Amino acid sequence: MSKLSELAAIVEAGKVAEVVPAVEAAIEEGNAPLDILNIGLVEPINVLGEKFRLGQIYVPELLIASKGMKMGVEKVKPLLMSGDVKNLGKVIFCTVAGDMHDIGKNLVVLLLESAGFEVVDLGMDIEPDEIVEAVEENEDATVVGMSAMLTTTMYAMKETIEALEEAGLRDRVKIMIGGAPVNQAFADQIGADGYSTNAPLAVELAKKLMNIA
Amino acid sequence: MDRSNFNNVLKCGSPLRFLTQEEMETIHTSTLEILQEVGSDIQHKGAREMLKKAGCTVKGKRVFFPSGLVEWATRQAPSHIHVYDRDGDLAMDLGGRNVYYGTGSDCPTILDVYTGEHRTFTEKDMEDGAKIIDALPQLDFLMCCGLMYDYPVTSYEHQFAAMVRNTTKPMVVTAANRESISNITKMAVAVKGGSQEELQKRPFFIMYNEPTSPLNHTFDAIDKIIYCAENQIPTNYSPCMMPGATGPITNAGALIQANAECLVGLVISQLTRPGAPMVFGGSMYNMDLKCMQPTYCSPEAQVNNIALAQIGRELYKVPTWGFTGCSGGKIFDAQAVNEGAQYVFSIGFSGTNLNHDVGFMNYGLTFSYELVVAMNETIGQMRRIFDGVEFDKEHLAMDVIKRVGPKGHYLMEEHTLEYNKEMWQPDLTDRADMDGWKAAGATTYEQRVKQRTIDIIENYVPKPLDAGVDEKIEAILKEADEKAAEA
Repeated sequence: MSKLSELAAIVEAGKVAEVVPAVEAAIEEGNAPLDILNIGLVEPINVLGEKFRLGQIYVPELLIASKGMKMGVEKVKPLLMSGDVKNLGKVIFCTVAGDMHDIGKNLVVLLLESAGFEVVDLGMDIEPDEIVEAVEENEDATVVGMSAMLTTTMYAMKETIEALEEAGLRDRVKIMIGGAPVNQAFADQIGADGYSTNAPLAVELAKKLMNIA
Repeated sequence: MDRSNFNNVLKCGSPLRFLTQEEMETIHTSTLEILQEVGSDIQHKGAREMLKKAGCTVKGKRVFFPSGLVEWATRQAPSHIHVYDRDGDLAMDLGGRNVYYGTGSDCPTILDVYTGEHRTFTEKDMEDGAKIIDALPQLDFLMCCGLMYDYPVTSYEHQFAAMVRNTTKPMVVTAANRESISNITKMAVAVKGGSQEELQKRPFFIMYNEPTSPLNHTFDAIDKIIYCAENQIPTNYSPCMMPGATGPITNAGALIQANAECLVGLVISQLTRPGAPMVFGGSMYNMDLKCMQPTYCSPEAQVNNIALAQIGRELYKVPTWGFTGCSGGKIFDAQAVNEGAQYVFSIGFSGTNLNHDVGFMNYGLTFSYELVVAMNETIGQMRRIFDGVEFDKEHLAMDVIKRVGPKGHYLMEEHTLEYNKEMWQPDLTDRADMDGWKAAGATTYEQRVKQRTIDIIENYVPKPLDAGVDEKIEAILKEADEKAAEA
């Protein structure tokens, strides 16, 4: 039991290099793999998420701890029964065509991953047909997230939605958008399903679009 | 009190200065000419006798100063004054370009934080003020803020008691005369366990003092200088000139007259006791010749204040006195924050040492605790700017630049995590996005400042005095009150 709380403390403190040895120690001590996952790895991230929401910590603290958590999950995964690992669903993310600004998109991707989503990150400067292709390939993906930083590139979002409609794929996915120049009115105008003003709210939005409480 | 996280001196580049070496010499030699040819009125017989013995010509109350004596005095005064807090820890090293901030003193009215009214300042207000200064990390020292009307004769003694009971920070005190400064000293000695020697070794207050422009020196002002020099109590002697009315309206002329007034104080202090600690400088805030009010924080006033302090620091090598964080505004509004913040920055970049009057409004007639709380935020920002650019290996960040490379990001780097700690963090300044700001109540800066001010007044608990000291202070106050009643 003590090794479990040690692991949780290490994850919360963002001591990335110490996570895997701590997971091994927790296994050695005889803890159930599911407890290692939930108490030792996921719970400290939830604690940090709450601290972040309250403005007590910064983004790097949250992201570095999430990186540690993911390494720990990889270690404990082979020991888990199938279905033990919480997967909230698959989402496809990108920065749209003509736009090389991906810091906001990366932030959302990292937070989605640490919240339990599987993310297909297409990268930046992604053409509408590349997105269509990705939706075709990932049949289980239910959300497409698009980001733009420039007023000149935000209309690529509209083109992407039109391309998905033409391909007959629009109804298969919910579309969420974000980025400095866009807002709720723009999202409504181009027919997106949701807009978020910042990264933590984007996670909430994704959950809402997928009907996850 | 841990002060290690504050940088009190502009590390990089040159300080803000207005005078060349030649210009400082011009002010200096013009000052000597005035003091020798026109002289000054000294309303203190003992001081006139002392000055006569030292070589001055005395005609009635007018004293003419030989240049050599004035220059001798500038060479006697110490270049640094170390001021401690109530607990005996070093709090301020006055000298060089170290910058410290504190409140102003003796406003007749206070801007009530609850009602927004201008009303008479009371003992409770003084206790609140001391608590506010104690609670705010960027305020370095306390002056009494307002003039307590609860005690007509012994208000300065009661002011000091309310201050020392509610803050451990160093203080600049005001006093009516020798009687009240000696009562204050008695209380300070009681705080130091009854030891006058301990107070001299680790002084935790500075005595405020001022000449009367133009070129006039009252009995009480001179008597307080002499008392402070005799007792090794640091003091200052700050002209509060209103150019256009009590001094020449031009900056250079105002500087010459103010310098002459400061130097008379310095000569008397050094003749009383060579090496007596004295803070040099003052302000010359031109009178607005339409409404006939002193402008206090006008552009000209800031230049004058900073230029006189430059002469003190660079020519006479003595600790310097400044004005800051004040406004002519009547309520806590954009004018108050604009004028206050301007002066916080200009005086900070000039490297003037002991800067008072944070919280002054209405030309020093009204004190605002909200302005003090707002300036705490401004001073914090400015001290971060003081840090300039760090150039050690870790700050050059070459390793992380190479590791991240094109198209990467820095959000998950240990380097970001580590050095984000050095970034200035707002306390009351809003940085949220629009939705976040709305979710937090869509408040204005004024509203957040008001809320913080009230929070400190109602919830902050200062460190109490050591056991037994309170009773000693009470006894000294009682004696002073009885003596005042007899008189």
